[in-house]
Amino acid sequence: MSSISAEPLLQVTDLHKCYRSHGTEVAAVSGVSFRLDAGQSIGIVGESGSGKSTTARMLVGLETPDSGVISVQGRELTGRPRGRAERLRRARAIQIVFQDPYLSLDPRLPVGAAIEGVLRLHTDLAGPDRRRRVLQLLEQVGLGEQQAACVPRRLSGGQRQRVAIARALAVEPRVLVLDEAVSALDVSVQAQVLNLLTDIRQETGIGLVFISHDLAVVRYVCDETLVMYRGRVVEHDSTRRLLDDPTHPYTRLLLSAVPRPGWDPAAIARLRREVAGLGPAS
Amino acid sequence: MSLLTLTDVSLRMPALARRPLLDAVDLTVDRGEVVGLVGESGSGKSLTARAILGLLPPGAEVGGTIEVDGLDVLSAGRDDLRRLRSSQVSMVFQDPRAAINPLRRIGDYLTESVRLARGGDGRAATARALELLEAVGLPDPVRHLRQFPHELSGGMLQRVMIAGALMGDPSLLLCDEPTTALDVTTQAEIVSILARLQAEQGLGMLFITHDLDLAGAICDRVYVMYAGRVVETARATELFADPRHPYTAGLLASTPGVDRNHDRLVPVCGSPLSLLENPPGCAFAPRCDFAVDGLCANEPPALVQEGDRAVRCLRSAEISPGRSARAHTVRSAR
Repeated sequence: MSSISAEPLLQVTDLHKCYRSHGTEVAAVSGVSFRLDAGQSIGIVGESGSGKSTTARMLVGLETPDSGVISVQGRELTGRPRGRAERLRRARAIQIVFQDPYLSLDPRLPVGAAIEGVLRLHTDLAGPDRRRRVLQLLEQVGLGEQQAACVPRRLSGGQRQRVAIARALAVEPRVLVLDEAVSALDVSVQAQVLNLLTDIRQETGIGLVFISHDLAVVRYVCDETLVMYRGRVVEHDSTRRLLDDPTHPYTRLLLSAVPRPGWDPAAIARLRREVAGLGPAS
Repeated sequence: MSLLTLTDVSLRMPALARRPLLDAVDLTVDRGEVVGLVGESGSGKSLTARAILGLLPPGAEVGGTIEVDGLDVLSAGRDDLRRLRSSQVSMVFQDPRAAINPLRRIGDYLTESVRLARGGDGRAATARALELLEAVGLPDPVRHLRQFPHELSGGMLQRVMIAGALMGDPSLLLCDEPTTALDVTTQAEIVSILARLQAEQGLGMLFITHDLDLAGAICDRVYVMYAGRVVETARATELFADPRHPYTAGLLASTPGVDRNHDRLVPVCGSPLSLLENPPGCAFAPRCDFAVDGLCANEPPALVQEGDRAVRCLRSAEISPGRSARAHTVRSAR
């Protein structure tokens, strides 16, 4: 485990992103900063429109920040990549897994071939070695040769999400971003994938940026958590402290909204209107 | 007599699935009662709700009886079904954007079924629509009537769908994952609206969800389904405190909690039964830690009643899956 003074695995400094629509400017992300060390896991929580997905997309270069710096092991990733080598370098720094594996896997390609394609692009492995590596990667996520030959449609939702994770891991990235990656899974399967992520983190020292609306899942996966509200980080603390003793009213609202015995939805609705008094509600 | 009674309902679709999609489903909902139906995808929850409305997929072979307020749904004619759907049973779906015609105004959506079913009085229907839009907490009912669905947020449109479901003054409300697509705080708002209207109007409510904590928080009784069968039913508090079926216990052990720490979750191993599998015994046996060779896989278990709860497991008398599942989950209360 690296100490505070060591170079962070991922350093995000003062990210800003505005979108313009119908002549008005909307600040999707304003002033997001955090650091992540090797083997660490950081959660970003918030509701739709909070800017958490925009942050994720900026981390992997799908959106370009208006200002701010993203660097992995001291090398900056911000700005448009120039040329193939730069794009590949970035892909090896950060990978992402999205919520819906249906949309992120090619429906016509057997999943083994999809992973092999990534290896062909990023490694010098020759044919037989490459195929061995594909099986190794699939094995790491609990899948086998039989599934490698299947097109995504033939696999269950949980299996497809494992494939998406295996494919992201194929380039051996330093950081893995998971954008609501377990939200669509049934709970029994979700628990399998969560345990898998914990194991991979311990084995490889990969850093996780875990984006989710589910505070219980975040508590299980993340060491630290950021709470985002309308593009800003309103609270940032160790996950346990943040959930056991939240200080920002919005964090308290999110926490009280989680259903449990004695849950009072009417009180939450009132609290929500108070918090939303700061601006427009749904 | 219960408001809704399902007795031994089965549904097969030989062209699509080898196993029955619903098998021996017994379920009741009383007036004023909130009943949860939980389970994972493919367990038959939504199909059960659709069958209650008489909305069956083409090619379905159905058995058993479904009675709503004395009407036998499965043998009802077209006129009876229309009356059932327009004024006795309403459904709230998960995704209002998929369920509401994007080309029609909110006012048309709300009043259409009532105008068609009750012949004409447009003004009364509009007045009722305004009243309900107000009741679901929308800020400007008069303007909303003229608006199109794309002008409203997901949470607002879900309130429109709830208002629409109440237009015919139903006695039974079927809610199929009504808050799954919404943010948590919007979910709380929608649930509070549903709970208030349900209590005020004494509605029977069947609440379908995959979220065990949500079911536990709002339901009086809960049914747990697996692969088309009800595997356990009990009062919500008892079910979650002391699950008797290994599947219920497994679901609870796989669900992380927001106010407790888990060193490691205990997932249910394997994956749910596919449509092409039709094991002769208990459908959960291949994933079950308590399954016994030569017993569970051979013989289909019956739903055994004990007091006001019931469980479908041959071993439930000798095991207590709830207790052992909790022992498996190492929780440190730091």
